[in-house]
Amino acid sequence: MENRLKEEARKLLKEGKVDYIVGYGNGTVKFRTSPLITNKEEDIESLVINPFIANNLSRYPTEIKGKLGIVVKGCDSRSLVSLMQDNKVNRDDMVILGVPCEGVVDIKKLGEQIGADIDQAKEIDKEGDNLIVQMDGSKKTVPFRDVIFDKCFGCEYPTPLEYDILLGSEVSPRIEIEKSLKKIKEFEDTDAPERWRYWKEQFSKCIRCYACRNVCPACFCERCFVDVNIPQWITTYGSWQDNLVFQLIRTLHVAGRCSDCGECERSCPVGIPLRSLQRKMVEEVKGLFNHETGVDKDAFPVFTHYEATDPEEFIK
Amino acid sequence: MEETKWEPKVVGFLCHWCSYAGADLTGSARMEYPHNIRIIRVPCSGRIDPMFILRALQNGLDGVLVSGCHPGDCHYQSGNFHARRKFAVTRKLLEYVGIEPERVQFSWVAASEGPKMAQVVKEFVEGVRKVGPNRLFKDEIRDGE
Amino acid sequence: MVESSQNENIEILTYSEVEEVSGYIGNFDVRIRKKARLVDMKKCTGCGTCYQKCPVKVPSEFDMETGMRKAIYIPFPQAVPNVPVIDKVNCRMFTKGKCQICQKLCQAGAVDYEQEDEVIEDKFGAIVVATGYDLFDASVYGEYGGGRFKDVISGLQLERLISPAGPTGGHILRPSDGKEPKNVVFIQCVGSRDPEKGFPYCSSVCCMYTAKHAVLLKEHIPDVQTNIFYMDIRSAGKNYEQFVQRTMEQYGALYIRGRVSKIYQRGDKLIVKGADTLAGSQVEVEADLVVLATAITARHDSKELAKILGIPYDQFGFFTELHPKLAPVETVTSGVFLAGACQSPKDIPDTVAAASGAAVKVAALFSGDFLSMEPLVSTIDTSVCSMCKACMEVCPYKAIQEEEITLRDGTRKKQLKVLESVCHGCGACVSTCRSSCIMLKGMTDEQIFEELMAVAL
Repeated sequence: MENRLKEEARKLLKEGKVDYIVGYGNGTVKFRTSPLITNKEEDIESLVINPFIANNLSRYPTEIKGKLGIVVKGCDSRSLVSLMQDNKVNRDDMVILGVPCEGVVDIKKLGEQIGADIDQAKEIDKEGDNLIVQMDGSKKTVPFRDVIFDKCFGCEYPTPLEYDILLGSEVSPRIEIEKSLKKIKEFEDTDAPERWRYWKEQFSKCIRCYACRNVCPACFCERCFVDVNIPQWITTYGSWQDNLVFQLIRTLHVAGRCSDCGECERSCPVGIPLRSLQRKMVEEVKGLFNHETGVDKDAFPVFTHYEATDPEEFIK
Repeated sequence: MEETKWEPKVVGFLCHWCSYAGADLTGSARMEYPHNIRIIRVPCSGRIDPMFILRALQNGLDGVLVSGCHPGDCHYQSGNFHARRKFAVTRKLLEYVGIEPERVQFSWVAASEGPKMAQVVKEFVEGVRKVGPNRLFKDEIRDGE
Repeated sequence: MVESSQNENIEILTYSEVEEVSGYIGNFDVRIRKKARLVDMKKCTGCGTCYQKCPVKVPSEFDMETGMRKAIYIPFPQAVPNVPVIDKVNCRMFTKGKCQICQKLCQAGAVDYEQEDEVIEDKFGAIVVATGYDLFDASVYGEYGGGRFKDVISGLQLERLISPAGPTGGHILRPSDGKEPKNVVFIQCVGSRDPEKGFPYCSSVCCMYTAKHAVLLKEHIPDVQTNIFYMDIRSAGKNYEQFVQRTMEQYGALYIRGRVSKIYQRGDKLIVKGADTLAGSQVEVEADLVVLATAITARHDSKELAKILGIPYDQFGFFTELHPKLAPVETVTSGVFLAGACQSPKDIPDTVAAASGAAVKVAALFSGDFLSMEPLVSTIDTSVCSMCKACMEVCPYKAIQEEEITLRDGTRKKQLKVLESVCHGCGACVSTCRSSCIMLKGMTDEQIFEELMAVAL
């Protein structure tokens, strides 16, 4: 897949079909990838595709001018479609290189599985359904499904839904939605005060770095509501109350446009389980309005349209 | 010091054309509803941002009532339809994070429905009274509280 | 009508329908379908030979089926324009494929069987809706014969029988056998004030036209006896009560307060059984003619028209005014005005008053160089707008549009703007804008925030 990508990317740049290639390169820390954005042919050799490509690159087309060749996984492609519906990106300005995705490795989970920091690993390879981790003098085999992100269990669309070039063969979806939603369901079963206390605790940790906002493809506003100072809805210093309100409103703003890529949670430096809120909204939007982000290219954005028959049993 | 009895204090966002007129009618028809509600008039239920609801709760109000025209009766044709979608998810999210559902109530009250307005406010205030004072956004209980 | 048709600033488009209205006050784009009347309006001289010689006779709609018209016809002698129309459903040229009598006889060569609908698209500054009303179909009342008796007619049919230009030339002759009626029963509130079979509202005109009919009948037939079954006499209006009193005292109309329970035929008479609630007794009247004061209803297609114009209507299909007291001829769609019975049942003085009001509103609108609007409109801070255009999609009035501007350095930039004359100030865009870059003047977030803070104190 990686060689195919390099070949296609080189061709696209050479033929002048795109101005930039947006893909993955190796990060500064071992086994982690970071976005690689380039218009130079010599950089193409650095492009990678491996089980660690977590970033959702669909954010970049809203920020880079010019034609892009962009690498997307299943969830990323849905973000991209959602951005088209939001008039933020133009399909004609992109050549989409689709990566059928079997799941992305959660480095934290992998560390737990091998019982050591993954920096100590020499080499990690995927062989069939297992990950082979080469350590100093030892070799560990870890089942792949034990180390992928929770979101990947619920992924119904692992193969990109929108692409120009598909870099591999289609992947059939892993239908383990129950496993993916387990935490949400368990959490819902607790008492309301319990739940409130939980979030209060979580948001006491928040340092308002806005990594969640900055990484989210649906957060493309020129000015975020949290930066509005007339009136100042939310103070700039990080009290847990304001942190929580900020996140709740952000969750409502991206509801219906969130593809459950999980980047908010992955990027959170203090480990707030943000995906729990987002995933809950994905479920609700699907249940209430039968809308799934980025699945139907011709669908309308969910909060700018309505049906006369929308549910209203909650209204007196 | 003798403690004064707690009374719920709630805010109502009422659309100008239906619910506000309905509340007005309640008064002119000499019907009563609990004095616990303070009303803020907005042009349309579509004007109401979920931020208003959260901000009200954050500032210690015990409940928020949002009321607009019946579907199809919106003075601006579609405002309440958009509002309905927004409120449907807002409600679910607030409940998910542990805000008691009794604290946030939505209703459709037409300009001619004075008695309904009184009924809605009454039931809502009773619901809020049941769940008690809003301490959600309070910091840990300090001395004297 | 004749005077209007001769005014150079008035163009009358009859036999035409409005198909689509877009745009806004001062700038409506209207598509009108001018239906093919199969007679060239420019060539026709209005001589009338065609409809004198046409061999097909069908019941006349204008005469409420009390008389006949031809397949090529003008609805009534004073109709404007005085150009006939061919009724395709009944014309022999269309039913049998031959005839052409009118075409052969027309000296001006105006008859054109091939003529097609014409679609007119034009700009207008304001629209006045004066589409009138429909008459309630009284056949749902089985007790009044359910439409079986020829001599049970509506007030409007009696109106045609009295008219000198009507089917009987102004002689009041009953439909069944053409005899002059000597005993006439009027029944009020047929379909009005009856939520069960008709409508809960009062049609407002029937009390007065029934009194007028009683007077006219007496003037035409001096030995006639008129009996009027009524619920209440609603004669509010200048000199109306005196008129009703005169009808009773000078013209001998017998007012009976009560409802009619049954009408049946005996010989050539209609037996009307009813109650006199003031006397507390049953009454039976042997009538030659029964006239029903049938309710005024909204036009059958008023809801479709309302959707085209973007104006609201009530549960009966009458168009809703902006404010019942303070803006009775305006609608929520600025630039669209109401006149007459399309809004609610109205008699002639009320209709003339409403029409004058609407006309003056339009004149006042056109007389200014600038339009004064409600100050509650949205405005966009384009410097922070991220152009997701969600506001455009939620706006029910299409008041937000994209424009292209040239920046100081010469580059072109697309941005959104609010058409202030179109914006109604609902604020749906404000709450939809995630980055709060739209503000509703007079109802800004800041104002609501302050209100909220004051309430929360």
